[in-house]
Amino acid sequence: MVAIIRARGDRSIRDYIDPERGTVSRELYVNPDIFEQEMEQIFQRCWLFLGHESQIPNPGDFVISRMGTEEVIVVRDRKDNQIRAFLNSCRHRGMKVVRYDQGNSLIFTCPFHAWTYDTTGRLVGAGFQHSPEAYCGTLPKEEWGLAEVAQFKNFYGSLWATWDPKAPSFEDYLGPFAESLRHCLQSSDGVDAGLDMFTPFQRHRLPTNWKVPGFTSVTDLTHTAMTHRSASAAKLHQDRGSKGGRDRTRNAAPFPMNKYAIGDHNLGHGGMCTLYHQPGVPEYEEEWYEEGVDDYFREATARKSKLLADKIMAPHGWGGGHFAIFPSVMVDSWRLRWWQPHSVGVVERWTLSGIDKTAPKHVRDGVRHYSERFNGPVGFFESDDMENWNYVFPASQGARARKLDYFFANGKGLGKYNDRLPGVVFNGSYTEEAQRARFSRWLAFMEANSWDDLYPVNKSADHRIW
Amino acid sequence: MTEPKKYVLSGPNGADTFRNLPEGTKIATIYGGAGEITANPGDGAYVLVRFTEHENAALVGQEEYVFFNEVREATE
Amino acid sequence: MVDTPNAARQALEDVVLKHELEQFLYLEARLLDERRHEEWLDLLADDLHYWMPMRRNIKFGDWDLEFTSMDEEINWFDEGKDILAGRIRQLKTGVHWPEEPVSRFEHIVSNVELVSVDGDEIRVNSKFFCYQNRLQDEVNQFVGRREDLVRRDPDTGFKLVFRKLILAQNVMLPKVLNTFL
Ligand code: FES
Ligand SMILES: [Fe+2]
Repeated sequence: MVAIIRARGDRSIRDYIDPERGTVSRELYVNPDIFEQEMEQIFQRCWLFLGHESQIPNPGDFVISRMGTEEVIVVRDRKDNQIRAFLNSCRHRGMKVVRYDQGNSLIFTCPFHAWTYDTTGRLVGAGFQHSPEAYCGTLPKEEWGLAEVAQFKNFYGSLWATWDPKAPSFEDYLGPFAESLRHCLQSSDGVDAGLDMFTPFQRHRLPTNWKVPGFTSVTDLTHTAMTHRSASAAKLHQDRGSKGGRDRTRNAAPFPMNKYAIGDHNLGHGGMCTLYHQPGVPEYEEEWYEEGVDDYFREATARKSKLLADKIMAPHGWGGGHFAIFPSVMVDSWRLRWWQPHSVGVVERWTLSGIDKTAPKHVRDGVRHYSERFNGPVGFFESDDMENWNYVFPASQGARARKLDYFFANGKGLGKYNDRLPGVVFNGSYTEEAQRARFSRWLAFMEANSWDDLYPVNKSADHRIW
Repeated sequence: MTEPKKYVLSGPNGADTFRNLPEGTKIATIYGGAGEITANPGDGAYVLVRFTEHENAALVGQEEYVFFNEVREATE
Repeated sequence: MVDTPNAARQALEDVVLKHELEQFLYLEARLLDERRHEEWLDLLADDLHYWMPMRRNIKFGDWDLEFTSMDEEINWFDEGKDILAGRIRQLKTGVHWPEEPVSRFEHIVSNVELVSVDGDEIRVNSKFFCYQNRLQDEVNQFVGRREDLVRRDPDTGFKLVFRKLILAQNVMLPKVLNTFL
């Protein structure tokens, strides 16, 4: 039996989604009680993205990341070189142990009463631990180490963790999206874990519910024409850079492919998808603003083409558009953008992007500049998203507005399964299939007592509601 | 023979001096232990000391983080 | 001590130059506030480098880690006049949603310091306080310092060649930064 979580009054959480009409109650976005339940039911259980190994290359290097509303210390141990992650909260009486964004450390010392932890999270000291007027040497240090994540995964350089020991392996959590993620983490010539990420995390606040951007920003193709009208009108190229009005050279031969919006209702992942119909890699298309960058990528693509000559490309990655990993990580080639909830009406956006470790300076600069001018609060492309994502919240929050529903029925009922990605629903690229998949999974998490109720730990679970 | 230099760990510069005590500095603790700094995390709270004398004999030859106000004396 | 005619003349020249620079910086601020962006663009040299690093929370003494490096890391801005011109084209479309309706910006410039003169090129530091008021209750404040390099110009008096913007923020708290500082 599944526990029914009370959301408001006597309605169960399931009553807030109407699969027949294809609607979701706004209550799910504006109700603080539901937010608290999400932190428990979803963010305590899911695999969450922490960062990339290239951010902490040396023993003792650490960087602060987040899991849901909480901070974690991601640190490379000085002795065994392993990366681990710990809750950034002192075991003594809860002080935030590390207040730095990053650094290199022997130990992490709490500024309150000086409990101190080594890079494996062990408590290795405390102020007055030997004092006959204090602990008298009796502090059981081995029991009071920092709280470590239950499972940790370095997936081709990207770092992930979950608080739930019963969560499935990271690969099983990704399901058919594992290959896509691997592909996005490769360097442009197809070498695994070949990326260097640009430091630091780009972070900014947005006053809205985390699901507004987190559940819709991949894929929401019907928003692009309107939301990003200014970027196209001003000839700010949408993809890799700003062509600033210069014409693009488009001379690639057509490569047989179809584009879809897809969603895995059991896993919650989904987004854009390209199915390639022949082996190999499409011809390279010029797309970079900075001089000489295209030359590098043309050569890298040629090397990758050799590598993949007999293989049909993964449905995401190079030229394949972007996809989301439940609950809130957007992935495309070399770029991860994710949403960290702070409260029911505040979310923080983090971005991490990178480039081939072996790329020369002018290519690194080209990619970095693109990332700076495209993403986040100064990004000429994403700033338009921020306005829309922001004002959804106050306009949905009022006593009258919250009684209404959001429409998520675009393309409902038209999706089909496809053997190329088993279990994934394929639909028209402008449909809301990916969003619906996330709500199927969202509901499953909100109702589940534990991972035992959830796919893929429960192999026969069917979470699809629409 | 000149006396080895004693670091001044009290007063306004004490914390800064402590944060920068170099490896090899001789440490004496208020509990009668003695040893040498093997690493200084620079946090102003601890130095890592390898003990040559310790009130707990099992810790002789071992390393332990020593809190600043358990340091009686630090000498070059 | 101003005790020779040469030194007196130099001091007077510095005062005049500082006055000219202040007028230039104030004009820049006013053009932005009055939404005369193309005229503002005219005050920028073609080889302008406009840089705003991010700032980290770091351990005392790790000062070289505080600002993101211009060459290797992610900055808020690290671009030239071409990209700034693109941003201004976007502001002029009337469909750039975070500026539709437009904000009420007030750029306040103060603490102008003449740093050095090298032929036509002058280093000048200043502080900015930019107040943004938008829709009914959207308020943001961007506060910080600037380190500018300007070049004398026959048409506009000066042109901005390099600007380092030191913003007092870690996480960017406003959802969007859509003006120039
Ligand atoms: S709360 Fe950290 S030492 Fe007391
Ligand atoms: Fe968008």
